[in-house]
Amino acid sequence: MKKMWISLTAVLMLTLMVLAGCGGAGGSSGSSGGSGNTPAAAGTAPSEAAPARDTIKVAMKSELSTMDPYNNSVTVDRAARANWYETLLVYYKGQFEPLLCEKYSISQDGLTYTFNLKQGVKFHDGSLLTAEDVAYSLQKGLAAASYATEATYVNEVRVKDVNTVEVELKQIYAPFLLAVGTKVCIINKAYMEAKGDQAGYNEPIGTGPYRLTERVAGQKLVAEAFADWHGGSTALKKAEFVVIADPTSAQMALESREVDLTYILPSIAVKSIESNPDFKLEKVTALGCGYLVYNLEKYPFNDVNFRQALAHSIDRDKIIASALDGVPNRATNLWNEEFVGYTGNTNFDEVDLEKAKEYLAQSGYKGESISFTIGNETYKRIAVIMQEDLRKVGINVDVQQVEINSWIDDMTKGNFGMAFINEAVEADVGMWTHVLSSGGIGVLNMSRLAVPEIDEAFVKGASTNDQAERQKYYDQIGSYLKDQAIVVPVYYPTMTPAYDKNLTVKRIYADGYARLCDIRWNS
Amino acid sequence: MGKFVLRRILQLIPVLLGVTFLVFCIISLTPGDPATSILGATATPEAIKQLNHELGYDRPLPVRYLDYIGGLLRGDFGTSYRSREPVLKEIISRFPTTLKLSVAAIILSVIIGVPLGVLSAVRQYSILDFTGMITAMFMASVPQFWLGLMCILIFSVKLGWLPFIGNSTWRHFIMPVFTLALPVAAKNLRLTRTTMLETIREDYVRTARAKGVREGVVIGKHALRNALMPIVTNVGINFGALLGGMVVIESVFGMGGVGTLTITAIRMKDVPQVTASILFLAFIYCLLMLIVDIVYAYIDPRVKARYVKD
Repeated sequence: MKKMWISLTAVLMLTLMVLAGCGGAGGSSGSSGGSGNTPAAAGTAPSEAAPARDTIKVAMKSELSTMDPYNNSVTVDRAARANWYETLLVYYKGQFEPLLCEKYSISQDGLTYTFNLKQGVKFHDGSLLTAEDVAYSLQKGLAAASYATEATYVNEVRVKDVNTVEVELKQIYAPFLLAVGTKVCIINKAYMEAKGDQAGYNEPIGTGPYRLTERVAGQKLVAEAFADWHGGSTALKKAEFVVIADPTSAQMALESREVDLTYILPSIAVKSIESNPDFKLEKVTALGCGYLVYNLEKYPFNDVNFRQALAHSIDRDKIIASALDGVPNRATNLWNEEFVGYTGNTNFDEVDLEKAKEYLAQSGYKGESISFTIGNETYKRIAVIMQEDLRKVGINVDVQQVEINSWIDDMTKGNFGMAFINEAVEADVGMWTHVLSSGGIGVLNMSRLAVPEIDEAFVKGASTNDQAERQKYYDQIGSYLKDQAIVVPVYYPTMTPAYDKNLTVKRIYADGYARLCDIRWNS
Repeated sequence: MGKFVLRRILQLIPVLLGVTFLVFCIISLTPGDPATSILGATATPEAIKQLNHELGYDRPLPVRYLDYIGGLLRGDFGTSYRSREPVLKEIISRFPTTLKLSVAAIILSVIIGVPLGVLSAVRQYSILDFTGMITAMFMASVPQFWLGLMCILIFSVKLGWLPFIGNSTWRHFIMPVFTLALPVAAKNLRLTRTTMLETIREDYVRTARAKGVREGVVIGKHALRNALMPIVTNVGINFGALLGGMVVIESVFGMGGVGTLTITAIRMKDVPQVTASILFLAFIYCLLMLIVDIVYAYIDPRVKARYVKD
């Protein structure tokens, strides 16, 4: 028995040693960020004499999927790296603002873009930004798969002088500034050539207000203020991005002051955080749309009457209230007013069961069961509500959830009946070409819409810089989508960043994220 | 004994080869391709084709598999499609968190489960026994994510005693370890009770008592030692399961470990990362089972005698 107790004591000590080994020297959770559970960090308003905090802890839903600045597929990646890499321009509330360029101009024929760079801009290694760096970055970006569409329009990127870069297009491409000017990260040519691509990306040297100083795989990123930033001094000197994949954990992390700002919250918690005086919550309508899509090549979706029956049966307000906790706004079109080339409120049809029944009677539908596949648990509630709405008019739907990769494969190959999708698209109506043109079949054109007039309207809309003319083409597309009930737009996805009441966040971009330089603690 | 260990280590080779073959084939044969997952949104068919070619994903499956095995023999576990980093580096950077959580949780589960199981058996049908069994049932039935969130709600949000995001201090490990350990402790408790109930009714235990040996020695030395074999097996199996199956806990407590890495890689169809992660976990699991077999020899002299005979 004595031996047993000795063994138990030894095991207990071993456990303590294992746990103690986890910590290193520190004993405080707050570390430099000052977050944690100490009273000082507990969000109590600092006294008048106390200086404002200069650190922040931010919750992100995932770690960076790649350090490659030219892979644009993940929004979190783009939002995080906007702190250390900068672009020539930024797009905010429908306007282009110069960032690394002082000004830009477009030639009369619309084919040449000239960027005059800001002078005295320094990279994190102290070297000065030159036109060579910008040209190198643009060329590197346009060679990447994420910019494959844009690259087809570019004829040449050339250095005009040490502070001027010109980009010559083969033909007018209206979304160029948005797709390239606000997206391609400017990197340091000499550093990248010396270091090599992967190593250079892993230890980024940009011109942004923050330097990435630490990256712990699966855990966190640490960024520190860059003293020589061309934009001046930043209020926050250090920021820690921590990965919290579970939205409920993120909510609790905010409430327990483990983090000061979170970009993820469960939709059900939005109202309680909104009404909590200790926090601020912003609702940002993100670019994109959540919509019902169906395979136009298949029966019964190849019948416009059946599609109209669908469009008139679905109660979008109920879906938003019940499945999405009332957070997002109802969609009136695939694109919203943040988009360049916004065509105004198309006002897709309201729910009208009688009208839906009339359309259904005119269609050839005979009551067969229709497959409704979803690839994500999030959309299950939406699908079930739609199933119930459609049952009321006599349309039988069988909801099936499949593994995400299988779902994508089925969707791109057209092996589906109807599905729900949340498409994130850049802020230009022209970018929906991938979703609605015949060229996108097999990739993003899930509905398999192949109408020459629509294809042409997209091409013409992208081939002029005249906004009024662009609007004309996009109006034509919007009307067609509505008249033919090609899709049923349901909601505009909404980001809900929430943060400590003592923080001021100057601006949040349309992707739902703020840059660290726009955040400060109130003194 | 040495021969036995060597034989078991050699047996690992076909097992691990089988694991690579199965995982590689399953993940490759599922629908979808890595370029679509990586490029997402506005990728054109040309871009997807180009990236799949760059990644070598457009080659036939047998060619890719043989190439992968060739790499393994040279010590190259491959490069992640997603991050473009060596996959082993990604695993090794996350493994310490997974290992610390697993080791601490398994030790805690033994500390809680075994003594309580012994007490329950010795005091069968007492209040202590009933309490122990009901607690074990509760601990085994509660979903881990719920338990984790409740711990956070009480100890972080309400009381503010413990931090829970990250793994920078030992205090960060308290709640996840506790959450992981409880269900395993419940299994240990029930198993210990059952096996102890059998052994304390054995003739040699009755003989020991008849000889006037103290009750503590009877239970600790004679009964428990003989009841340990299934408990050690259970601990070994649960340790292996913990190493590969703590995705929920990693997600709830913001701890990026091998589980999260593997799940993300599966979603992104990152074949080299998935294969290497599962290969790595299978290797660790096999090693654990070997250790369990060796421990048998130390617990039970009959097993040791068999090895010596070999």
